[in-house]
This record gives sequence, C-alpha cells and structure tokens, in this order.
Amino acid sequence: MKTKTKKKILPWLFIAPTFFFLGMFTYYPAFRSLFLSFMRMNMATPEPAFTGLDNFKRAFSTPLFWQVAGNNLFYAFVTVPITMALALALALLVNQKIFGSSFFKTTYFYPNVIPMAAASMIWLYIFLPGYGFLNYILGKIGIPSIEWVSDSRFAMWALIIVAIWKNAGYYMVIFLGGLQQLPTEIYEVATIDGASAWRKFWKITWPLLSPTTFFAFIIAVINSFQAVDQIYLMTRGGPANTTNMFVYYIYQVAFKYWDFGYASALTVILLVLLLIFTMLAFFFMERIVFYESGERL
Amino acid sequence: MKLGFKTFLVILVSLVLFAGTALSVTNLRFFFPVQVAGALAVLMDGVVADFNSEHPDIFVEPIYSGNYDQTMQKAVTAAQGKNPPDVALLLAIDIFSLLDMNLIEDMDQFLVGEDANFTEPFYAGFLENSMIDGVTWSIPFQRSTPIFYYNKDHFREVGLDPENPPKTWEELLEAAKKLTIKDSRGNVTRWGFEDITDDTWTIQAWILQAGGKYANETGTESYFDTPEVAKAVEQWTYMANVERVMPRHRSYGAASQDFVAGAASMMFNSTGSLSFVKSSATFDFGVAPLPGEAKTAVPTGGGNLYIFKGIPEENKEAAWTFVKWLSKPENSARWSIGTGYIPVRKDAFETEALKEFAEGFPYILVARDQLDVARREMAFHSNSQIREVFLTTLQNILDERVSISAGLKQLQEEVEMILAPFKQ
Amino acid sequence: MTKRGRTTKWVSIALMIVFAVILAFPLYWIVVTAFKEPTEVFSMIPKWLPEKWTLDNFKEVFNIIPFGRYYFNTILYAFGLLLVQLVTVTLAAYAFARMDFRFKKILFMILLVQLMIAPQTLIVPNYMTISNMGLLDTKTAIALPYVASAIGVFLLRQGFAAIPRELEEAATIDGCGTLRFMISIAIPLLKPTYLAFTLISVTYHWNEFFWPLIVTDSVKARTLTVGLAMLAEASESAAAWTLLMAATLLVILPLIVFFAIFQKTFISSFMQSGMKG
Repeated sequence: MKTKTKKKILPWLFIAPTFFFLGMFTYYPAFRSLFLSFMRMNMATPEPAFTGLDNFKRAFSTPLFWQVAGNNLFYAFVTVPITMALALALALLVNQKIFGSSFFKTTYFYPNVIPMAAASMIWLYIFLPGYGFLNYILGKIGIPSIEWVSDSRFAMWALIIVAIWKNAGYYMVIFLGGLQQLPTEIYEVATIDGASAWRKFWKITWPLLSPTTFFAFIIAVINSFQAVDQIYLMTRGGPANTTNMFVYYIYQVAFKYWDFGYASALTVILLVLLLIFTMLAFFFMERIVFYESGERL
Repeated sequence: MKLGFKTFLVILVSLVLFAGTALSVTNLRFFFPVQVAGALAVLMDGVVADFNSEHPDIFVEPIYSGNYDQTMQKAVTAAQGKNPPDVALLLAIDIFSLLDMNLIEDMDQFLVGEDANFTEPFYAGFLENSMIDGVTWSIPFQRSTPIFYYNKDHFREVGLDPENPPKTWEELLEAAKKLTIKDSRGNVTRWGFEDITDDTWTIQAWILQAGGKYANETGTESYFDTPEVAKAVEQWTYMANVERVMPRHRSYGAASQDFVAGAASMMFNSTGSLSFVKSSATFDFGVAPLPGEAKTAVPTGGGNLYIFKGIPEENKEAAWTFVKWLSKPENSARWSIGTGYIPVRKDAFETEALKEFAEGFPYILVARDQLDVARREMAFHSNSQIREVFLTTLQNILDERVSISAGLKQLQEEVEMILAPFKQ
Repeated sequence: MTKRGRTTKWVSIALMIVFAVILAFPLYWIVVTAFKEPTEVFSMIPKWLPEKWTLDNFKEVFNIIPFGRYYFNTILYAFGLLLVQLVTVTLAAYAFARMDFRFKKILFMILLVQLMIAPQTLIVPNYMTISNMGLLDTKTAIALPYVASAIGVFLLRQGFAAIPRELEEAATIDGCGTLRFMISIAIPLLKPTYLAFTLISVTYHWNEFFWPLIVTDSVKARTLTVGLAMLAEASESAAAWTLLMAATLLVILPLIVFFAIFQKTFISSFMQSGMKG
C-alpha cells in the first residue's frame, strides 16, 4: 500500500523542481506581463494604476510600433529563407562525403559556437566605413564605401548578413540530420535511371525533406522575432529606428524610458505572436511523425 | 611557550578594537561610466584608492558600469531593486528623470555645513544643469563642451591660415569646401568637415548660435518648431546634402577616427576626445572655439555626482565626504589631466599640476576659454525618450525622408505629448 | 564515376571552398587583428598579416578590465548551472519517459513551450522578479530562469524511453528500486546524451548576453560577453579595434579550442537537439 502511494507521488516529485522553475520564470512572468499591461506604470505614475486597454491602444496607434513590427517581419522573412537555402546547400555539399567534407562541416558550424556578442564585434570591424574589410572589397569592384551600420538604408542588411553568417551552420546540421534519415534506395534507383543531381534534388530530396524544412523554418522565424544581441551591440535600433525590433523596443521602453506598463503590453503582444508560431510548429511536428511512420511513401 | 594571561588580554583587546574599526568602516558603492576610453576605469580605480587610504573609516567600491546610458540604467534599476548605489556619476541632464523617480538626495542639506561659497569656484555653465529652482541636486565632476578640431597641415595645403580658423558659419562652410577632396567619380575621399550627427549634442551648439533655445529651465517645454532650430538644422543639411562637405552619419568615435587618419580635415567633437586625438594624430592640429553665427555659444555636457536616496544615514555623510573630496581643486585637476576633460572649477587651473600640464597641452586652455559662452545643456523630463525622438527626426531630415519644417513640426508635437503629464 | 558525376564533384568542392572562405574569414580577421599594433588598423588597405606581431593588446585587455574575474564568473555560472540542470533534467526526463501519471502529455507540452520563448522576451517581468527577490547582480540571478531546461528534458526523455522495459523488469526482480535503477543503470547508459546536453548548455550559457546584461551591475557577477560589450562601449571613441579583437579572441578561445577537439560530438549534439521526437 505504501509502495503504491510512493509510486504515485514519485513522478510528481521528479518533475516538481523543473516545473517550479518553469512556472516562476516562464509562466508567472507571462501572466505578470499580462496583468501589468492593463496598468499605467511609468515615471509619472510609479505605482501601477489600472488603465484598461490604453497601453494596447497606444501600441497600435504609435507609428514606431508598426515600424518595429515591420522591421521584425522584414528581418525574419529575409533572413530565414536565405539562411535555410544556404544551410540546405551546405548540408547537401557536406553530405556527399567527398574528401575533406568533415573539415568543411566544422568550418561551417563554428560561427554557431561563438557568442553573438563576439560576432557583433568582428562584424562591426568588418563593416567599418574607411578601413573595414567589406568596404575595401566593394571598393575594388567600384562600389563606394557604404556606412553599413550608420546608414538607414543599409543597417538592417548589416544585421541580416551577420545573422545568416552566424546561423547557417546550425540549420545545416538540422538538415544533415534530416538528410541522413532519407532512404538511400531511392537514390540508387534514380542514378540507375540516369537522373542528374539537380533532378534528384528536386524530385526526391526536396519533397522528402519538406517536413524538416518547414519545421526549421518555423523555429528560425520564432528565433528572429526574439533577436536582440546584435541589435544592442551594433545599431542600438537605429539609425532612425530602422533596425528597432521587438525585444529591443521592449528593452528601450522598460529600461530607458522606465515605462513598465507599456513595456508589459508590448511583451504580451510579442508573446501572442510567438504563441501563434509555436502552435504552427507543433502542428508541423505532428505531421513529421506522421510522415516518418511511412504513411506518405 | 605558555600563553600568559596578559598575552591573552592583549589579543582579546586587539580583536575587539579590530572588530570595532572593521564595523565602523562605512562601505560605499560608486557607479561610474567611461564614455571615452577603457583606460579611464583604471584611472578612476586609482583615484578612489587614494580616497580610501586617506579616509580609513570609509571604503568606496568603484563600480565601472559602461557608458553614461548604461550607468544610468544600472543605477536606476539598482535603486528600484531597493539597493541603490550610494554615489553615481551620471549625466547632468538626467536630473529630471532622477527627480521624477524620486531617487536622489538634494545637495543643499550637505552644502549647509560647508562654506557659503562652496559652489562659487565652479563654472556657471556647469552649475546651470545642476540646479533647479535654486536647489542644487548634483555636483559637476566630469564635464565637457564641444570643441572645434582642425588639421593645420591640411589648412596649409589649401592655402588657409592655420592660425586663423573659421569663426563664423560662412567661414566654416568656405573652408570645408576648399578642404573636401572628391575622386573622379564624385565620391568623397576626404571630408572637409565632420559633425556628430548620431547624437543630439552638437546640434545644440548650432541652435544656440542661431540665437535659439531648446528647453526651458524646468524641462517641461520644448521649442523645436522655431525658426532658429530650423536654421541650425538647415545649415547641417546644406553642408551634408547640397555642398556635400560633411558626411550624414558620424558617431563621436567614427569622427575622431576619421580625423586622426586624415580622412577629415575639421570636426566638432567633445573636449573629452582631446587625449585620444593628441596621442593618435601624426600631424599638426589645432583646437578652437566653435564658429558662431548670431552668437557664439556651446552647450555643456558630461556627468555630475549624485547621492542616492534610500541609503543609511552614515552612508550619506560618507558619500558627501567622497563627493566633496572628488571636487577638490587638486582632484579636479588630476582627473582633467588624466582624461582631457575640462576641470569643473576655475581654481583647478591655479594648481601646479594643471599649470604644468597646460604647457604641454595648450588645447585645454582653449577649452577653458570657451567656457565663458557655455550654456545649459538640453534637459527634459523623460529625457531619454525625447532625445531618441529628436535624434530620429534629425536622422530622417538628414536622410531627406522628411522636410525640415514637417520634421520639426512633428517633433514638437510628439515631444509635447511626452511632456504633457509633467506640466503642472 | 560518370563525367556528370565528376563535374558535380568538382563543382561541389569549389563551392565548398568558397563558402568556407566566407564563413572562416571573420575568425581569421579576429586573430590577425588581435596581434597587430593599434596604428596598423588605420590604413585604407587592409594588411593580411601584422607587420609587427605584438602581445600588447592582450596585456592591455587584462590591464583595463578584470578579464580574469569575468572568466571566473562565466565558468562558475555555466558549470554551476549545469550541475543543477543535470539533476532537475534527469529527474523530469525519467518521469516523463518511464512513469505514468495524469496529465503527462499536457504537462510535457507545457514544458516544451519554453523552447519557443527565449529569456530575453520575458526580460521585463523576470527582471522584476529577480529585483523583488533582492538577487540583482548575482550569478544566481543569471542562472535561475534556466534551472528548468526543456531541451534537456527533451533530449534525455528520448534516451530514457529507449531503454527496454525488460531491463527494468529484470532489475526489479533483482530487488532494485526505481531510484536505484535510474542511478545505477539508466543514467550510465545515457552518457553520450549527457555529453550532448553538457555541450549545448555550457555553450549556450557561455555565449549568453542580454539577460546577464540586464540583471548584473558590477564586476562581481559580470560575464565575459557583457565585459566584452562594456569594453566595446568604452573603446568607441578611442577606436581601439586591436584591443577589442584581442578581447574577443580571449572570450571565444576556449570555445573554439573545445570545438576543434570535440568537433564530431559538438555537431552530433546539436543535431540531436534539432531532431523532433
């Protein structure tokens, strides 16, 4: 009798520590943000005072909010496809097991191992107008020096370049995992049938990889909406807010303007967006299991 | 050897005394920024160490906290977490924000115990941002003004008189036109002039010189939509976009770098960059007061010492001792020599150390003389936010995304919205 | 190999080299710049190698900022957190893998949500929580949000679930309780998975920036990445790029070295983490 009770309680004890901290630092904060988002709490009103939907109304009627949202969307939907394409290309190349592919795999992956903070430093240096390496190369092909991080036309592209460089290797590894799960027999048959590498890719690899691809895509988008390190270190959201994105905007409002009510509302909006994407991710995760069980083939 | 009773007593008494003195050391936390160079953190450590050895009953822990913005953030978040620093070196213009959040002690309570003319030797321009309605809230420590750097070699090259730098906007523009070099495709390879367009500081000089103002004394009113401000901004855009003698985007660091590399012939930059320029320039350069227009004037800049609320009583006294010590003429001079910032008080220039230093570094005297026309820096309630909005507007105007009149009009509206809750 | 096959091969190699050069260049540039004299940087034509190799930049880094302390803080934080995570993650993963309890599926989903929400998104409320707890400016504060690790539970759950029931039944017959089975048999079987998690966790926390930035004030708890950022701030006017690159190199060196040695394990660890159940 005692052992049975013990058996019933044991799993709960096991998961308790994890769920305690999960509650305290993931769920409780989310709800606290929700609570505070309905409050006015800023420099003029240090004690929270109920204000209904004002913070949300403010967000939706502030041009800066829409600029931030637009920037984030642009950033996500430019960075992610390019990163995916590059990652897939790298995975395909490295998967061929040609001499030296292991060395290349390492080289492609290492940017993921170093901190974004370090990546920001080196790229700031490379982006320098004047003595930056990139402008030197551009100069050789006749393009005048670009002020990558201080010109509002290019700052976003600078961040995009850094993000692609940093993350391609990571998604390469995801794709490699997916590639290695593909059945080799089909390829053998295709080779015998005289199919070119390109055809093999389009007709076999791409369709079979699609669940992995979609899943990676969603993860990458979710990550893009939470990018902040390189914004803080390279552009501070500028120039003229052209690189201001959600998490940085929240940081500005909370820790520079000390407006915690509005910052909480912004946090809630971001969380809702992430939740939508998360549900999409789970949906695709289910489909992957469905595929792997052999249904599709 | 047997421990006798006497020895035991001696040890016991020493222990008690030791514990006593240990207990009676007041520990202070001092947040400070380094805006210009990393080595200054080490310099500050040295200065604080001297204070600690001269005051065995106080121990100040110097905590380097990043640049001014970050230090402000750290100080405020610490204070909100009920763990405020005892003393912090923050921007003089953060005064309204700190007051609104009720985080700082006034200095008057300490000045009461001092000489009646304690603040007299400080330069008026620096004190202006430290006082509101006659109450002193901070003590100037690390202050600066914009100053005009120019490359004498380049001047000689194009036939300008190196001992006679431009004194008006017109002269500046003409000189910049002569000094700018463009290549065959029309790209600029050497800028005649650079100004710090990614901050809202030097533009204040132009505004003042145009005869305008930007804020009222209590930080509740802004005057962005005025002809003088428009005139100042117009001069910027004219030089950058029409004559193309000035780049649109430059930070303090980038401008300094360009200047010492010879990629820019003239620049406005902080007096705080003097040390860097002196040690890195391989050419003959000069500094001069900023050219004027309707007036000659410059804003002040830099940081003051604040004492925070919510610290124990003994700490308050100790904090004042520290602030007072840092403000002594010798220490003001020492800091100035080590950093290139201007001393905040006139009598610092009387010290032997600074007199000697000025002989090898006459630039500091030029900076000092410009203090006669140094005015209160732009400061508002919700200062960070207004600075951001102002900066965004300037950048948009420079990038020709909005006209000057439309941009300034919108700016004024936005700022009025931000200031609305503070107008009483 | 067919002619077509050969062309593919050579094109592939060419492409791989091009990408390798592009991806590796920044690392090469960090190293080379770190050893240059500061004045060498101010030339319009980049120098591929230092004209004069110097260690001055590294010395200066240690002079200016307490890098040693930052190393200590970062190592303590990353490995201290790892130890705690190993415990919480093992327990939770084992429960999800091999025990039955109500709401198991839903609870697991709830846990997995953490994978999608990075700590920086919750920076405002989490900062308030830490502040209310009086834990600002401590290494503990940096670690707390991560004690619950969804990725760890996810990885280990797969591993634990794969252990055959028969093994456990046999052990039970031999008088081995659940706990003992877990500790003496299950955990040792999962050594590679633990290694994978260790690599992922330590790398992630070494590299973390924003949360430690907000939550720490002073050298006491500051980590390497935040220290690097502070140096960058201070260097802006002084344009001390060689100094900054030396500092960057110091921050990433342990990671690069470990990565070079344990390449295969690193890559397979991250590969595992990307695989969905």
